[in-house]
Amino acid sequence: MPLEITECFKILGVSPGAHQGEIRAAFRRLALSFHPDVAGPGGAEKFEAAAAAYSILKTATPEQMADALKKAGGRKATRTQKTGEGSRFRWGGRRKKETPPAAGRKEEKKEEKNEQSSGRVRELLLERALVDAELAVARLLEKSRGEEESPAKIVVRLLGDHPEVRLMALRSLVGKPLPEEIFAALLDMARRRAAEDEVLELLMLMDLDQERKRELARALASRFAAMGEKTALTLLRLLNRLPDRTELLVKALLNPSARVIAAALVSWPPKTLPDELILIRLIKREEEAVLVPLLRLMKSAAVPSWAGPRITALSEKHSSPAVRVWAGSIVRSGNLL
Amino acid sequence: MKGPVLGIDLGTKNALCALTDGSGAPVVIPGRWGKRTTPSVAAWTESGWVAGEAALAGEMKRPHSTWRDLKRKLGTNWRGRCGRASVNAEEAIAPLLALLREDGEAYAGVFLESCVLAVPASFSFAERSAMARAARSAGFVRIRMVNEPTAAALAYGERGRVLILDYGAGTVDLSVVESGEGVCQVLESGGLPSCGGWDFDAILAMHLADRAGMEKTGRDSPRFRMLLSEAEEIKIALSNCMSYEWIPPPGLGARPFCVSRRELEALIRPSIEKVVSLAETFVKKHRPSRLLLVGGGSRIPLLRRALEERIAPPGRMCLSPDEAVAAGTALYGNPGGRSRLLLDVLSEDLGILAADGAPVPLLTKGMPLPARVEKEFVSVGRGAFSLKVFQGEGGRVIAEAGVSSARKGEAVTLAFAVDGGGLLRIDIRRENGERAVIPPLEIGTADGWSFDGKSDEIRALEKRFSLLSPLLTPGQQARADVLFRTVKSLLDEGVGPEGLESLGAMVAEMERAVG
Repeated sequence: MPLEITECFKILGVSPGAHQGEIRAAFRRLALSFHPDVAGPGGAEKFEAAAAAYSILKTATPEQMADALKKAGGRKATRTQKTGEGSRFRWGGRRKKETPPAAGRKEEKKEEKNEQSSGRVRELLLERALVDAELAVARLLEKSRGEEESPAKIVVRLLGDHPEVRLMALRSLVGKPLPEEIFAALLDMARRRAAEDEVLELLMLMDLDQERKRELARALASRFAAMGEKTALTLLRLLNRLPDRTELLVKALLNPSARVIAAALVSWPPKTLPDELILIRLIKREEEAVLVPLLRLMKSAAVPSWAGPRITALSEKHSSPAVRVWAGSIVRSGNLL
Repeated sequence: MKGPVLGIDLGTKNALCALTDGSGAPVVIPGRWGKRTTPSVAAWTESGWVAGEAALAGEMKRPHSTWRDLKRKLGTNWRGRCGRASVNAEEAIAPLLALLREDGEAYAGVFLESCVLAVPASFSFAERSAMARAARSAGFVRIRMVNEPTAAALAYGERGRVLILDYGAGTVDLSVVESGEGVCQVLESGGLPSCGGWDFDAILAMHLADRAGMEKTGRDSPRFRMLLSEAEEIKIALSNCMSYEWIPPPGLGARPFCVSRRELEALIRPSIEKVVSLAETFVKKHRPSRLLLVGGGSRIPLLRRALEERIAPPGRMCLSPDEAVAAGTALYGNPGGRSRLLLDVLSEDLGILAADGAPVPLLTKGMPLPARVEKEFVSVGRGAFSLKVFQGEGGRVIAEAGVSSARKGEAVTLAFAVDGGGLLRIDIRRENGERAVIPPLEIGTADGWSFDGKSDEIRALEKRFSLLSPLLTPGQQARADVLFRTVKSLLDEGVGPEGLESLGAMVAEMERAVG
């Protein structure tokens, strides 16, 4: 239903025959108070009415304008009468509330006649309904505020590309219970990204149960071989808090750094040995840092026969006295098979 | 919108993002490589998506799964091959937007969930919603769109009526904007989709290949890509000198030769001509007092000269022409003390095609946004039919919706709503109460204002309550008023239904009490 041109003038609050510039200015004034960006969704309806009126006036031909001006002149008398009854274009008032009270008052009178005694009960019931609704809405408000860190939001950031953003996501998780999907994302991140010191430290602060700690440690340990020395040592400290950690320590032995291997061997459970392939690789190394804990471990367990010649050689020729002593003690104690 | 809003200018060639600083001034954010621009390139690798500089660095290694110029492929049926699967432009743009988001987050130190995306004025709603979906999958929750030249106008602080010409790598856009009294009003926006600086690179690359006597290669070949980047360099150099000696990289196997500015201008003149004549029609219609140029293409001497001869010399912007759009989006997203209310308009007609194929516009060009219209149509035949939504003068169909088993003469109500974020939503209501939403345009914006029936519900509740309110004490009335207002604002945030329920329960309880 196209609006009449005279209506449009009223909506915009300008006199008929106004200049295009005035019309534009009036529209802007209305927009400044009712545009949804300023007034929120509540203003949308009024803004739309103003916009519709403005776009009609903008494209109206001069003849139409003149026509409207003539009509407005004729109607002037009627319009002045109308202003009192609150036309639809008075923006400020809340008309909805104006008519109903009459109906309400009628009901009120009826009520008064019928049952005056129940007035107090009714008041209480009304109060209760209001309080109930208030509580429900307050809970809702709290929820909508508390839910700011939604899981999906954190998951996207944990799997992101930017290390700084991943750290931000981790920091926001510290000290909070972790939903399943976030934990899954944590595991995924641990598997895919090279671990850094700061990430590990934050992971250590996480509130995780044994089962999850283990799963996370397994994911992190899968990258041991490519890890830097310092990070690997931090991770080893993390592993040391877990019971039954042999399978994870094996991964640490794949790290090239002697210090990492030594640290893994030191926390290796006594009276057991890593599997033979790793053992062969390790015993061939020359560093004192690796050999001493390795020989000590071997002494506590049974030494496989193939290691005999190498250990004998170490006890005679190695440059470090500590290695010579440990190797010598294995040879002497005769627990070479 | 909660928290800071990231302004994104996703160009055809480069992307920028910006936030505002403490004083409300826009800041263009340096990316992780320390540059303020990020190449708009995305690539699919064995280990997943990469974007930006990393994707560009691997371009020569995998030319077939590295994509540039993604913006103009949005909304088309283009598909990129990656291994056995294929992706569309929307999926390929998402990692790029995610990268920009991360740069913004690392800079701001908070998670960014809202963004303002600058899009070419010539983008239809199909393309806009494709862009919005990409932004959504890049981790943004609240998304708004703004036309590129309009954003640039916001960044330009002066009052008065201005014609802004955004000469980008992919698209050329124009806006006439009038600002003053706290409002920045767009009078008209329009654009040309395919005569940007990037197309000049392609023309020049072909020309170079011709002159050097190289055999023709496919557009995706590493050789052509190398030629393209050489062409770009020459083009930029020729903006500052009259002739440039090109020394081809050894891989191309050509001899050095001189390229003159006149040669380049002969190649690009037709495109420039088109742009200037579009600008002329805008000038004739709106009589702006100033002409501003933004975008990388604003440095082309031929363009400046043509504008100077036929319209007016371009004014001074006091902002880097490359960053004006990004700065404008940041200002639009974070309205602080300095910014002005933006009144945007619809840039093209929007409507449906009638049974005889004639376009019936529902929203006309130049309507201020947000706009909404409802219209009843009567079906002319029986059985299923499809509803075609068109946009623009050519009557380009941007979406279709099937309506099943209609009776002859059944009334179907169509409601078109363009929200302030520049996204279209179409609802179809049938006589039997069935509702449908046209799928490609529906992106489920949280701020679907006053339209999705929820606010009808709340209005009905308010009505019922107003009957009761005389029975309440003034104090109670005020409390109830606060309740209604809170639930309304919660509705806007998208946590509506429970609030409505509790309000409904309250009103019902009260009615029972009153009897």
